Amino acid sequence: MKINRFVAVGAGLLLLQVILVASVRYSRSSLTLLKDEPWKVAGNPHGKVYLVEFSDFVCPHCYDLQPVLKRLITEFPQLYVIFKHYPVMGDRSEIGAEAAECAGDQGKFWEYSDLLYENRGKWYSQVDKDPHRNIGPPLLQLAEEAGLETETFKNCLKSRAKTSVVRGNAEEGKQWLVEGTPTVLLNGRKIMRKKDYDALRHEIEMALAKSQ
Amino acid sequence: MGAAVVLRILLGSVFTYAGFYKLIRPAEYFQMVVDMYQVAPDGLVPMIAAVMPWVEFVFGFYLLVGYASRASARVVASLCGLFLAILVQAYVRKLPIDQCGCFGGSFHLTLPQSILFDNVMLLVAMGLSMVKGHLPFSLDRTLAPALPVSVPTGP
Repeated sequence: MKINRFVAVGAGLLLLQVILVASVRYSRSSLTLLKDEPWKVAGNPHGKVYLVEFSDFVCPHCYDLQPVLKRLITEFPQLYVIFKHYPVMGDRSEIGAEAAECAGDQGKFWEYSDLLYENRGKWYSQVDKDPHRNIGPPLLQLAEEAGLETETFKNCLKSRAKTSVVRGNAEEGKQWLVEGTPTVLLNGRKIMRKKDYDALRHEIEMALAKSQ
Repeated sequence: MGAAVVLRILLGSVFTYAGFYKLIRPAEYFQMVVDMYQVAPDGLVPMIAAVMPWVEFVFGFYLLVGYASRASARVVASLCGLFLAILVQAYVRKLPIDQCGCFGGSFHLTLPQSILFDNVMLLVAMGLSMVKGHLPFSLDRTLAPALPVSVPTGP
């Protein structure tokens, strides 16, 4: 009788734990990583391999990664690429990311991002940490170059409407143990090795082979 | 004896939290952590990532509430030993791991910090597994007749 009571209590505790986990549990789907603004994705949304890039527009290695990703998207029709912000260089990095989001509102996210990467030395030091006060000419010049409607862009940036999106991406990154940029996740696995073309191509080929 | 109760509750809390936090996140989070340490074949990673958090959570909770305390302490000690081996091999191989991922993304510990922390937990768990009888504030004591408690004091 004593043993039965003991076992019953143990089983009861186990059941309680299962109920607790089930009631609190997040969706097990990795689609949480795939949800983001529509202008920050590229490639085939129904592809078997998805690559998530956590990036900062001030980071030189992130800049180096962009042509690699463009080439991979062209070569692998099953590849789906999602861009996530992970500003590591402080407030100015964050403002740059918000500027890219505002450009995304006008359908020019990738064009503006390319300009941010290419001109990071120019705009970073001249961006005011408080866009309510002064956005700074460089970001507006890049907006003109990208063909954006500058008043709309300026209002978007000044309002800090995109702060929550950028910080949401960064929080997501922390959950995935992102420490620096660029960080690449391929089908949910962090790529630990070099992120040059050959290494990523090899990883994608392996991922495709596994998905067959 | 008071110290043993406190240590049991603390150790149980750590494992309960660690297991629970991993269980409520998508499976891919912890699969990525397991993969980082490069000790398991790819095919086994999902299974390990699915089972390990449950073992941590269940036996951590049992230890916390003082149910089957000695057996739970032994399981927790085994886990600590296993984690320690994995952490040390990662450190020796100089794997590019900035934080251990032991608590998902909620708590950041570097590899050396994790090794130290694990050593401490292992010693505590081994000590608890040698306690004879039932400690106060435990389900074991409620469910079984009172027995004299013997806490190991050293060699």
